Amino acid sequence: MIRAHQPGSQPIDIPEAIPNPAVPRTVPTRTPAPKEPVKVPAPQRARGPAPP
Amino acid sequence: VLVTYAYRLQDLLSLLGTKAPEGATALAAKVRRVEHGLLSVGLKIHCLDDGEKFHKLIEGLGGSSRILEVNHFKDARASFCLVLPPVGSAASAIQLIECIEHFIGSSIFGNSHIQLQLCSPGRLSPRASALLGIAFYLGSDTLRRYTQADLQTTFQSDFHHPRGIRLVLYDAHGDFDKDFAWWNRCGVLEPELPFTNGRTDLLIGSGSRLDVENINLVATLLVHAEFDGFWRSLGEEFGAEMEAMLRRHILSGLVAAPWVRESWAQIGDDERFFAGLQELVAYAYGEFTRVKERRLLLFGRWRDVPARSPNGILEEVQTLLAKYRKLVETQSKLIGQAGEPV
Repeated sequence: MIRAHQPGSQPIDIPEAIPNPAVPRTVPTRTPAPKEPVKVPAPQRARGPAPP
Repeated sequence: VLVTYAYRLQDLLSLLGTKAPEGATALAAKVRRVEHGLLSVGLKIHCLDDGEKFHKLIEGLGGSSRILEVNHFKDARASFCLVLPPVGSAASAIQLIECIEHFIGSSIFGNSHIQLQLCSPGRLSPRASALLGIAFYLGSDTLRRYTQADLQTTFQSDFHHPRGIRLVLYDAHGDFDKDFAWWNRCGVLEPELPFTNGRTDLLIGSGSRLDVENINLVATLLVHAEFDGFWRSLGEEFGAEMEAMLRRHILSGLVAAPWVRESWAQIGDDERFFAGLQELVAYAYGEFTRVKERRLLLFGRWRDVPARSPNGILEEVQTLLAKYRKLVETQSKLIGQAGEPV
């Protein structure tokens, strides 16, 4: 980074490299977050006498 | 003859295949295939840090003494320069870099510790070399600032092949792979390039995929214009359009700067070139600073952000590159499978 300063004007910072505004930037596609696992209730045993 | 790499492309692909099998297999199938009559592409990787991540790759290819020490040319700040064998197209070159990225587990494109050098067959005239350098700079997705230290190489003051401190470099009469198809003036595919030797290289620094594609396109147009290839008339039109654009922006004097070091270079040419490059950089940075648009941000605040200007040189270069890329792709479809124009 270079700091350029002329008397009577605001000092400006000149970076080493800047994105070319004429080149459309490609936005990385987001990978969808994995879904939360759905809790499946355990099958409940029927109460009562065992079947014969 | 100087030897720049001492391994075979097949050996490199086999090694890369151990970690990136799909990419290496896909690359092996088309690695020497030329696309749309464009030039073959060579790459050099200058490593500015200790290069530890390349250790396994270099050992796998035969070791540092065999692979690196045969090559005396490198960026003056680099720990080593790895020369890759040339491939048939920009797409293959990009895929090769991606396979190496996969192998070493680190990025090469956009890495500030890696300086890429792109090699195109055929020595361009000084004027065409200037157009190549200017088109690369303005067409890149990154606008860079340079110091002379960024462009210093071990051959800048070499006794036999002095290359000066430049962005564009000629080869040093090293080994040259001419076994790539060349589309001659009549559109007939010749099995070899029409030069026995000679390259025009660009030190692109921390480069991108777009840089590889742009340089390959522009170098092809300019080389075909100067060596009577199939794209001769398109290359001449491109050169004329570039020069007209530079005149509109009062930058035509840049083309007269010594962009490439010739054998009859004069004292002070390095400085004359660097002054020209600085003017180009200042113009591009100036446009970046000047052209803004107001955007509404969160919480109803407005802010000026860099924008595209239809009359700006940066936008014009993108339009020019897109136009000639489209023309090359469209016209190349007219070449039949047998190598004759339809």
